[in-house]
Amino acid sequence: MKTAAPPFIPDRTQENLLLFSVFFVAAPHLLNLRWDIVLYFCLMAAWKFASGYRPALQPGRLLLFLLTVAGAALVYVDYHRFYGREAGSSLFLVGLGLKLMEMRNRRDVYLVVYLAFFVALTQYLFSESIALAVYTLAAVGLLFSVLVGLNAGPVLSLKARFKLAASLVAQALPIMIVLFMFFPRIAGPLWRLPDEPTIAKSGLSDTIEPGSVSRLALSRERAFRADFKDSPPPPVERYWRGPVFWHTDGKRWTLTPERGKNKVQTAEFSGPAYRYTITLEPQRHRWVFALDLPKVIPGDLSQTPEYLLLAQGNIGERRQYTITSHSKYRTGELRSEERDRGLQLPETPSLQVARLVDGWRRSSSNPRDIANKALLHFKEQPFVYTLNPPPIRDKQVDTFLFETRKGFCEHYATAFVYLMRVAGIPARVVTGYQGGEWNPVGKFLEVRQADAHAWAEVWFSGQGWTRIDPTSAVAPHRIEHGIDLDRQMADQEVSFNAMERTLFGTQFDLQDLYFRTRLVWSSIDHAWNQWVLTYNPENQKRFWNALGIVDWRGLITWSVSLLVFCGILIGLWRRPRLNSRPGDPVMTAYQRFLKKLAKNGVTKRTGEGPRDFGARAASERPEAKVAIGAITELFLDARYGRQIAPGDVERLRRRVKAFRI
Amino acid sequence: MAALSLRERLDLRRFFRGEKATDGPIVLSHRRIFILPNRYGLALALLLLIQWLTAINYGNNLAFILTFLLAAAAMASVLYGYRNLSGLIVDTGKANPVFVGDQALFELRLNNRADMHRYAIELKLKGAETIRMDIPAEGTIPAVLRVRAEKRGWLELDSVIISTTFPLGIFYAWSPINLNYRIMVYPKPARERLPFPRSGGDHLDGRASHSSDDFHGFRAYQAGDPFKHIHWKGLAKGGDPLIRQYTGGETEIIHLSWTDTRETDTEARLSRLCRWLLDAEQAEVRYSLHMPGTTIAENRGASHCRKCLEALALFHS
Repeated sequence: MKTAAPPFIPDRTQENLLLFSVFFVAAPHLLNLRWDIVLYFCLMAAWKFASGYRPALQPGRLLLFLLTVAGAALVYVDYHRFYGREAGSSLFLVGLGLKLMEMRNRRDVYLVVYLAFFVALTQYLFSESIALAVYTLAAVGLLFSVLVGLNAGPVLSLKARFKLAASLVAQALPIMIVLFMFFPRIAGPLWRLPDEPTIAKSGLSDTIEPGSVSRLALSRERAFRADFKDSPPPPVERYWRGPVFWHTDGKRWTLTPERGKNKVQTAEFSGPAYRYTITLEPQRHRWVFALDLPKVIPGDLSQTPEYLLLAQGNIGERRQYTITSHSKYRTGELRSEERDRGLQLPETPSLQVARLVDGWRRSSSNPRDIANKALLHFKEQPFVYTLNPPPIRDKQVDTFLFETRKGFCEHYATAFVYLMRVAGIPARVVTGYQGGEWNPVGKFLEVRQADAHAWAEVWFSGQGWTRIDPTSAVAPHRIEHGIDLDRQMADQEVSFNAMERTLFGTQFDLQDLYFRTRLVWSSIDHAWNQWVLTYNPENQKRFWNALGIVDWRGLITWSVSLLVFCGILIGLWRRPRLNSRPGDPVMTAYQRFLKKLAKNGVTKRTGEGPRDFGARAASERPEAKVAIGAITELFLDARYGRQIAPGDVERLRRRVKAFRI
Repeated sequence: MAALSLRERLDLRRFFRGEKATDGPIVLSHRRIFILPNRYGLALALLLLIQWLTAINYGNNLAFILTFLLAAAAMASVLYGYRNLSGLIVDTGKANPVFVGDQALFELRLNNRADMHRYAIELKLKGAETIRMDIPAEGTIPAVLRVRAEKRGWLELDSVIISTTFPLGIFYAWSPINLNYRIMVYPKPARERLPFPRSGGDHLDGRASHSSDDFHGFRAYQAGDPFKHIHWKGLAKGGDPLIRQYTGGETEIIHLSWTDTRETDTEARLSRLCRWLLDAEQAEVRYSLHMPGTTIAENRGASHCRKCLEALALFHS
């Protein structure tokens, strides 16, 4: 029961718990960091574990020094520096492994645990998923149980340590939420982040080459989500405008650098307005995808003359914008400079193309007719929509139009624009996303990279720039239903792996279940993104304003009162129950004895001890002197005696029950 | 618990020295329990600061969440630490007198009337080894603080700090308590066993006879000593084998007097008297004590011995 206080008890259970917790905390980094760093850490942990059983393995000073040098060298060789996201995380992981090795006293244990907390934090620089957040809760709980064990000593069983640590984490959650919402945010970064090579993120590129969009078509990665207050636009109107291409060299289409001075021509909008909040995933560009065509945009976005929305800088983190768009619009007159760009051709068209276009031109009265004839051409001729078109080496348009006739949206869009330009109609290629999966649970459209699309815009006088999607002529279902990856997988058109194929091919119900689960999961994930990950200084300000917090006084009032509230809740929950109330058999029995005496006119005065009262009661009621004395003695023994025997309590109870005056 | 005056309440010494001593039992309540982060807590604060700055720099909300979670858990652990001490009842145990140079045993009884176990409670007393203990739910644990008695007289229990760093070791919750609890310290008995003072001719009452058969005192057993002179009782009690020495016939009374001591130093004289007292008690003879200002009439037995020893302990103090 009693021990002198040693500073650090090298207890096997305690040390193994510590090792396991630290390993558990560091584990997610196995996916993030270079294998040699990870190996180094695992080696250190394993070594420490082994030396717990064979003390001879404990490394000496020189070896520790060499290990330290080796660890630092490893990081430097891998990253050529010690700061920044990956190098910094590696350095901390290496340090954690080393500290584990030379852990000797209580102070070292704290250092290891604190280092482990920081290593857990560095993992968020790689992923901010719900799964990792939940994982971290468990990791923090484990580390707390190590500290609890260290402070309570071995009397506390492993299970009790976990329980205590878990309740500590659970009670910390409400306070954490209050802090998260109210702790003043400062817009970072505080110091310049070392420019690191950005992690390759898929998304639309700034050139259209054969295959550039269809590569994306296989990516399930999310591009963005759009929350609609009301119903979303019908599938055929879900065109999300991205970069617009004017220039082609016959093989690829490239973006011309922004000409900032050009004024945006305001369009005339009609038809229903859609108001939505778009949550963009990080990308390498400034592009903000908006439903065609945006009318009201946030102040921090700018618009190019092609109606593409641009953020101030690259969207390196998840961002949100609220935009209003219309699906019916009329743009203004064409400037001569725009006409030139809209008619640009790399070289004189081939005879075959010229003849085709000439035929349409002769039989049509206006540009719109010509465009319709071109669309009809795609529909009537044996054009095939496929994700895997045969490769085209040169003469892109001719080969596609007259030989392969198999392609994807980018083939149709670029070929169509080319044909229009040959016909003398200004046209351009628009890339972006088309469709999106409606999530009825969360009321948002989820647009994936697989929804990347390319279409054409043609200028008609009186109407302005008009969207024409030649892909719809060939594959109307692509436009109406979007790319249904799941169905395509089921139909074995696309496959990610063999197992999934058999799974979806044979068990349809399972696929349905999978689909539903995915919907629910996706809306949870979206809520996480929307409420947690995008909560930044601006959002906080908005939230505060909604609560009526205008200055620091309001802030302090709110946060202090919420914190006090949490504290009281926890305090009430954790309050120990003193056994002077029912539940303590000794006290209950004695109270009963007092009551019996009080009925007979002998009342215990406040401040009168049991012994004094017993003596007084005995003198006032001499006939019960023996019983009173016995009960008082029993009570004093049970209450204040060194050791309570279970029989004592029972005897006291019986004496009180039998007590008569 | 008596109410505190405003001045007492605002007195910062209360944090370290506690309130003025009272008779037990003392209930640890919010008024007596103080909580501050210890060095591990301060280190955690530094860690949180670094984490917070990192979170700001990378604009990483999960990093903020982890930082706030740790801060929140640290805050919650304050309540745990408080709860671990709150409601604990501290009472005093026996106060057995000791001799100078011995360990005075201050027994404190920690009574836990709550239905929860209290972990890793430490009792600290200046000059004593720190005691660390767990107190089971609804249990009472005695804790003995050993203090070396350096001076004769009353040894008062200094303020005892009852503390805990449970559960995370980052906050130090403590409660200084002062109890009216003192232990009598007798003078150290002189090491040398000298014969009892011969009451000499200065005693005119004639009660003491000075025949050569008088019991004179003890000396250590030496080979060849007669068995009948061995002090069997003392041997049975676990003492060293001693030989009763007689100078003449049996006498009933030994007069132990301040003036009979050959030493000049007060403490040395008290030590000498102390040794004689103990020897006389052991020899089961009647003895009296004559001190300047105090005289204790002859008698024998434990309570008489205690009375005499107390007189020595409190002499001129």
